Amino acid sequence: MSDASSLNLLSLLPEMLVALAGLLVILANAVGRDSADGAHRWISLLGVLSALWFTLNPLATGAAMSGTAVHDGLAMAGNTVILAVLLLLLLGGESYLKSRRIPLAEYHSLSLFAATGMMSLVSAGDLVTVFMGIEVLSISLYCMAALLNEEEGGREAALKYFLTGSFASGFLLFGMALVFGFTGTTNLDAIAHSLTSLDTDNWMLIGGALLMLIGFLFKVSVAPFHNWAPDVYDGSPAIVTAFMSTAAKAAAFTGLARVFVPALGEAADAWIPMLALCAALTMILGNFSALVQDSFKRMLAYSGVAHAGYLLLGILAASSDSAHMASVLFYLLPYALINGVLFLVGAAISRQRSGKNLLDDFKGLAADSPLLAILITVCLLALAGIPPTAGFVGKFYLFMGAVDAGHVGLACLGILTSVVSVYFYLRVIVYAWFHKAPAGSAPWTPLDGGLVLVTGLSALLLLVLGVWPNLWLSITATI
Amino acid sequence: MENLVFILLSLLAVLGGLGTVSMRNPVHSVLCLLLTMLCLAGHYILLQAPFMAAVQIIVYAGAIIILFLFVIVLLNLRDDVLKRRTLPMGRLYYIPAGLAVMLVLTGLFRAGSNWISGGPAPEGTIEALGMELFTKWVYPFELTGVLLLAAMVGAVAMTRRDKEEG
Amino acid sequence: MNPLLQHSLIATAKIGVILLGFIMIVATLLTWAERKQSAVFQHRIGANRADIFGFRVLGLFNIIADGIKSFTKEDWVPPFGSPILHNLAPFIGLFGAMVSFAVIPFGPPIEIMGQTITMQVVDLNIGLLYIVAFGSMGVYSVVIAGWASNNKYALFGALRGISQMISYEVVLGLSLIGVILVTGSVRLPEIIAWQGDYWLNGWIPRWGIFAQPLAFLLFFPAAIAETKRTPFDVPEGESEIIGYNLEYSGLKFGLFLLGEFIEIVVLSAFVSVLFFGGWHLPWLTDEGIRMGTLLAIDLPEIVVWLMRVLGFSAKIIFFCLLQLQIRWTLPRFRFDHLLRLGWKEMMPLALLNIFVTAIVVYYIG
Repeated sequence: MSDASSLNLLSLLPEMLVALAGLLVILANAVGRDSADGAHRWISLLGVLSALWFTLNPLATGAAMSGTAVHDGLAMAGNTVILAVLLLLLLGGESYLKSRRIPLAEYHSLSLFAATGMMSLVSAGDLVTVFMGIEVLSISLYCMAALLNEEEGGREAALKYFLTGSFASGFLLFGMALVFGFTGTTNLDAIAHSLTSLDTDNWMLIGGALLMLIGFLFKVSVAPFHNWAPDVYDGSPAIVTAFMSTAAKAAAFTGLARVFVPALGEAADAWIPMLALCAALTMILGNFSALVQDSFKRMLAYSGVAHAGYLLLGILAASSDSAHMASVLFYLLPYALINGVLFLVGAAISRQRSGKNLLDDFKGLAADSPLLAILITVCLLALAGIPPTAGFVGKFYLFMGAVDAGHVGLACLGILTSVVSVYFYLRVIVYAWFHKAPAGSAPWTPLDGGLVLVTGLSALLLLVLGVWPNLWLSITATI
Repeated sequence: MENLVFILLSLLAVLGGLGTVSMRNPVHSVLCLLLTMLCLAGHYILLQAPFMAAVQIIVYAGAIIILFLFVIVLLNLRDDVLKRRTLPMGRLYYIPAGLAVMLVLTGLFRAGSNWISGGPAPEGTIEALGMELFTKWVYPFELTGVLLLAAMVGAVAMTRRDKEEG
Repeated sequence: MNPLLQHSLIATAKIGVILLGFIMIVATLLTWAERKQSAVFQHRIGANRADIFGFRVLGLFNIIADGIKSFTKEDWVPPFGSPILHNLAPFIGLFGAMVSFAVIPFGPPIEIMGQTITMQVVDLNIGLLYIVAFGSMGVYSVVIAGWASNNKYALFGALRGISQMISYEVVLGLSLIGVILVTGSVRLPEIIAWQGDYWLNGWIPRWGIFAQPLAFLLFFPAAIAETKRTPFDVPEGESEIIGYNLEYSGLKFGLFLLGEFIEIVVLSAFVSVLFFGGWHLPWLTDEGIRMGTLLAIDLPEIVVWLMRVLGFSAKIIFFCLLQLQIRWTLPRFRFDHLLRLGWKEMMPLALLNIFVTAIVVYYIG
């Protein structure tokens, strides 16, 4: 396995390009000092665009690096989501970065390194790579969360994220050690292969699988391991929140799918009950907690927790028929785009009012800038899962998959909680359209062009995918 | 003979671990952690992996724990500060940790003898380790490079002061 | 004789001869040498007061007087500190320095009574890393001493000590990698064997100093910084700023001093092994002296062996005296200069050395 021909370096081109861009950003900062502020953005943009190109038109696929990386459809879809989010933040986040005086070189290089970790996680072929990918993305994100550390809440968020994240990594690693001890290998294919001949009713394997599951559920903020998420999302800079609640979650979900569905699929009896319980708990807790939030950021954070529950339904379905994996991957793209846009737009809007990300800040938005209000409305409706948006199609596939796999109760619970969720999404829309701005507040100034552009593109994409889902489904279904 | 050394080292390692979490004084805690790390280095030697043992001492004892100690000594926390921060509710978090340990222990007892299915480990020489690391595991190895770089950039970003602020 | 018993006897004998017979004596003599050398330097007469029946023997009896003094002084343990750790600290430093000697080969293997005996206590296949590992334990002695003393000046000294030793440990480790790359081993006998060869038709011995000059220039100051002696003595700063061992007296203070001198001997031995051919003497082969085609003198085996062991000892003593010389020549660094030198100047150079060495070794060796 370790001969040079199995290196298959070309298939790793997207990862390498992104990491290289991160290195170049640091170098540009070292050489150019303060005059290089614009360069960081252009280097990142170039790196992300080229990586996206080679992700969608890969020069080589299949196992790479002696089986420690695998570039299949799952990796392709995951990489696309991650790079799309990165692109969105690069195009739409400039004014936010400038207005909050976030150190540009550090932000850009860290986000590119985090993306490298995410991409290696979604294309991991080995438990070691899985762990390394998670660590790279986590460490980068811990640092990014602390980029505005002089602010109230920022330090708390970074520390909380760091502590829970390290705790989760501990669980993950312990679980991996047990699985390795049982199967004698860390390669995912080899684990799947060895489980077909070994007795899966073994406490060592079950313990390992459950510990790993706990680690992953921490990372994707599933109840009862979700407590950190709202505080961290609330306290971090909005652009970092946008990044970690979308790309990081997409990567972690893809990694979860990769480890549990193919590799530990034989031992599904061990982890499915726990996963189902967590999914139910997450949908209920996430949605009902979001109901009572006054802060837009916290509301989105809880809605993110709830969505993790919906996505778990997809994983459950995939464990009985791996074709359902496509529904998880399908939903990740609209989910990531919507949250990425909403965190950024929410921050930009709130900055003109209270600056505290309150829901009240949206009052009277439609009267002054109807275009923006329309775009936000589309995004929120998609998040609520209302046709004809991609959000509806995605949820439809997830719930159908759960029904197919026999989890009818969970699917019903998903639908019911989705109905609950419509309330808090609609609340923002109602504030924007039917409430007057508080007396004496200044008229809205138009938002940064790039931000409006990406919001528009995302909304357009949501509608297009809602009508023609096959555009994206055809990619995700090639697993 | 080897069993005796193993038992002794393991006993000390566990004692060190218990001391780490139960000592009131953070400096004592860290020194207990040091004991555990040194015992683990001893275990590596028993496992015919002297290189890992040396690295364990150089990296953990020589760098990581000494930095812990540096920070703790720098903060120089008094007993009253430590007492005030210990909330009774905080103890609840011991429960999942304890459950996890129980799970693992039961797992190991239930698993019986067939719990390691890998072959004998290759000799832990530097050459063998380097060969493995730079052929089969070169991708995760390179990822550690990205990891360290990201951590370094983050550390600099968090501690730097803007020039305007002086 | 029972082989196990025989083996243990030989090991014990080695430990006794090397540790007690050589290191302790050299380290003790160094305390005298340091006083005498500083006296010469400062145009004084120096330590010469202690006498037995009027004999002074160049002040050598001062060593005995020092010993008696430190044994009989009151051992003061500060209250409110941590008595156990306070007592432990000096021993940690001494321990780290003394066990490092186990892997240093003092000469080529010799056959006695049909048995080959290596001139080192143990031949670890990670010898070089072993020394670095135990060398890195010395910092615990500093920090524990400073913390357990319950004295803020001692604590500050300990903090200075940690930052200095951690910083220079990085340079130390990085500079060694060049040597490892060139010699292709971390086993000290192999490193020495590699240096037994010659360059330029046998005119230049292939010593580490010629193969890795930059590594030596980085290693030596970094190692002196690890021993915490002037010009790197900010952790202690005995003349003005007071350091981590402030609250020590009597025997335990003496142990700190002894540890420091043993570190000097270790460092000298280490430098000789890595950069100056270990027990190799130039143009001395197993058969005798061979100097190209010019000179060929055959010598009996035992004479060659003795010359090598004595040569190695001479190298060690030379470097010990060189370190004393440095101490009395250079003034102390300011603390920020010291850290800047370590991180911003020596570390990039060390990295450059690794980089260049790796390329050269890849294409030539």
